Amino acid sequence: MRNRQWIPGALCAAGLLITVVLDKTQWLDQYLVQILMYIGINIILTVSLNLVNGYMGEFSVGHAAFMGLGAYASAFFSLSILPKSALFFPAALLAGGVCAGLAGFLIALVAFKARDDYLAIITLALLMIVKSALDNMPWFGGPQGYQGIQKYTNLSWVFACAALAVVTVRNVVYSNFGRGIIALRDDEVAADLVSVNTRAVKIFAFVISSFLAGIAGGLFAHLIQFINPRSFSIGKSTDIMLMLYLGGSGSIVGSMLGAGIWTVLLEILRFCGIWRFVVAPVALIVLMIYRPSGIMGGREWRLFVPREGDHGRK
Amino acid sequence: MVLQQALNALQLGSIYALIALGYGLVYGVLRLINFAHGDIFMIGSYLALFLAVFCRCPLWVVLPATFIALALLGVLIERLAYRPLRAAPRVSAVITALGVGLFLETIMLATVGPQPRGFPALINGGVYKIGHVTATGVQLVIIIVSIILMLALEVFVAKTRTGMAMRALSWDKTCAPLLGISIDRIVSYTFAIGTGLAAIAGIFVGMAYPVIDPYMGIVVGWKAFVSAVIGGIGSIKGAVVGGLLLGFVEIGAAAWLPSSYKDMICFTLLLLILLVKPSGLFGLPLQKKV
Amino acid sequence: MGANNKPFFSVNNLTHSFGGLTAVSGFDLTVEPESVWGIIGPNGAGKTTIFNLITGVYKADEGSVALWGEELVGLKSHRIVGRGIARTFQNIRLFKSMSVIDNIRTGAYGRLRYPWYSCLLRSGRFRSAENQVRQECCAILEKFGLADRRHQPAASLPYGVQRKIELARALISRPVLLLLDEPGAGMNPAELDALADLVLWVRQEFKVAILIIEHRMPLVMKVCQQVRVLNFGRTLFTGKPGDLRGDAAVVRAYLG
Repeated sequence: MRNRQWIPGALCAAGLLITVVLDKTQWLDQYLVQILMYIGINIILTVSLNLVNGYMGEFSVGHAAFMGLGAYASAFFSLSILPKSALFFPAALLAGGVCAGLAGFLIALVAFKARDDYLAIITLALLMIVKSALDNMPWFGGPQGYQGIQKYTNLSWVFACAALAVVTVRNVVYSNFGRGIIALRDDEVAADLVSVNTRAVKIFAFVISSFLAGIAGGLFAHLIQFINPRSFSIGKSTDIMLMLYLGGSGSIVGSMLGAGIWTVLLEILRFCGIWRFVVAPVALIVLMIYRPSGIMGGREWRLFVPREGDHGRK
Repeated sequence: MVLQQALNALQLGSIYALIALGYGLVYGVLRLINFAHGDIFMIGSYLALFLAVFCRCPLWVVLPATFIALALLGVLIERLAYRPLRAAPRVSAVITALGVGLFLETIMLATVGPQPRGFPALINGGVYKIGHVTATGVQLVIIIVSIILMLALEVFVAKTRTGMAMRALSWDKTCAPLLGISIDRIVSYTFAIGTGLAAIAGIFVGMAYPVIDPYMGIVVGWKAFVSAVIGGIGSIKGAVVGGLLLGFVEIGAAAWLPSSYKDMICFTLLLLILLVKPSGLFGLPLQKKV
Repeated sequence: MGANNKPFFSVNNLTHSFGGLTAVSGFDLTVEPESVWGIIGPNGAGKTTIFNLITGVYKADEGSVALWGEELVGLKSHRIVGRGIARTFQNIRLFKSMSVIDNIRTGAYGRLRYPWYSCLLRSGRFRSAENQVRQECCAILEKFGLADRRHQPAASLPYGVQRKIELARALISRPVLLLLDEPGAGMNPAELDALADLVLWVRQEFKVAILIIEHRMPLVMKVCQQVRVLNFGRTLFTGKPGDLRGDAAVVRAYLG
């Protein structure tokens, strides 16, 4: 087991090298590259939602709002504050992530009160408030959208961020905090009574999750170069949830598979026109009825489990 | 002027309340936030439009016909999508509800298209002037029918056997079957009534703001949900008070601010009320069990 | 009497009511280090409520709970565990989706102190802290004879083993006072006998005082030095277990 430790690092390095080469040489068809980038962004979104909706067992429907905040904030930073150069793209991404994380922190402070559906309701309200606020900000283009964003996002940036997101979630899950998060899901009262600071754990998980969603938003904004408030509506949140539960919540590999399969499937179904969006919700319902635990069913590939991380190995 | 606005607020509030009742009834019995409820309301609008334009039905036919058709749709949705998940973790049912809502929305987008459609007034009610207040016939019909429906619901839940069974179920799900209450039957009734009321609200929105589109269920539906939560989800009185409150706040806000701010105000109000009173105005606080 | 003449653990005039119903009223208790107290009484006597009050699940309406003279009422549950009071539950509450060792590691949550970023970076501090706790968990599993089960899912194990895991999870937080809520429920006489030995061994091995809620008299007789009998939130009897049978009030409460 010990000598397998280098594999994840090597994979990351190889992946980064390949994506950099692909970016420079443009060997791959641009359409294919585009899809790969969408997959990467969706992986970040899904993996980060997994932390809250999967491992922690809460139910947030506002992930699109954090993505939107990240998208607008990073676009604002790269357009108006930072020098116009691809060199400063990471700073813009970081700004997006930090803004989303801050919003996540504020929401987490108030959202985790006693009731079951509390988080769903509060995050829903957040979603609506963010969208409505963006609609009413003429300097961000209002409902017409925010335009003129540079195309800084490329395959290697998406890969680097997605890898970072996956590693972050893995490292959180297989740590003291991660055990606290899962304990919370299994039995919140018992968790508190065996010394887990449940409130702090919830806030921590929620901030990490919204930070990563903000990064995904920044990548998204600098990929399609034009964002409007409608891009971050409840429909987007539903998409992310769909990918999460398709792959199987509580599994990192599941999130990655879910994001990949769903993105590719939607592309394949493109010939169906608008009907492909009818397929998505039907798939979600059928999935919930026949395989509510998703593709992975809570299992994890050994590759994504650190040496002494354990949890319930199934 | 103030009275005029109050009348407008009453009209909007009644519509919110009708939809909020459906959220509340279903939540009370199944502990499920039926995220598809807003889209059912939208379907109701379209069905009424179809009946009114193609079948040339008058209002007194459109109202009951839409109510019954949507009640059946509600029962059907519950059978197909929610019932198989009765024993599953709650989260699965909520996700399914989101899926059902999205399905209804996208199927309407795919069939009737995204463009808004005009809605006929259905009645030629004329205009009534009382002092400085102008009330249209449509307004009066909406307010009066809403009040009648709410009272009827109150009587139904308080006095009939089915209504009492619904209340029993929302108090204690494990005990109710022991008293000979068939959960499936009661849940079907609940969905029928809830979606039927939403359908009526759909007609009213069409009549009052005479344009409908497949997205209307999102905004109005969510706001009705907010009303239900503000009032205390699961409580009939709460849904009505929440709906009216929201109607007044929205009309009041529109008098001062550009109308694009009203969503923000409505949801900020939700946040504030939940912060002060997490269980809503009339909701019961839940205690953790050790 | 312990350090600076403060009692080791003392409860004074503890009172709590749910709505209008008084569950516990004027409960007093003083516990010596490493002693074993039994709390018995009919159902609804308020025993578990006392545990919930001590561990901060409910906040007492009145009265105080103090460990080494430091007030605990008003602290959050996880802080109280940090002060040295751990507990088990009437109906076993293990974390179902976790393995045995992770259940126990979660018990050490409050003791594992590294900043949040070091878990992201997997820094040296993170590694050494996690390693240390893992070794302690392995050691405690060894002591309980569960070492070979550490990677099994906790929920799949037999009842008696789950009881032991719950006990180990409580002990990993290094408590000085251990609260056991009906550990003998559902056990046959032979298992009960083994449990009594286990409790006595735990007291000696981990140097803890133990408060134990129990219905099964053989267990109480065997392990407790002092017994408190409660009925409807009030104290009926305090004394040695051997004197229980002679007390008229106790007999009345139990036999009606």
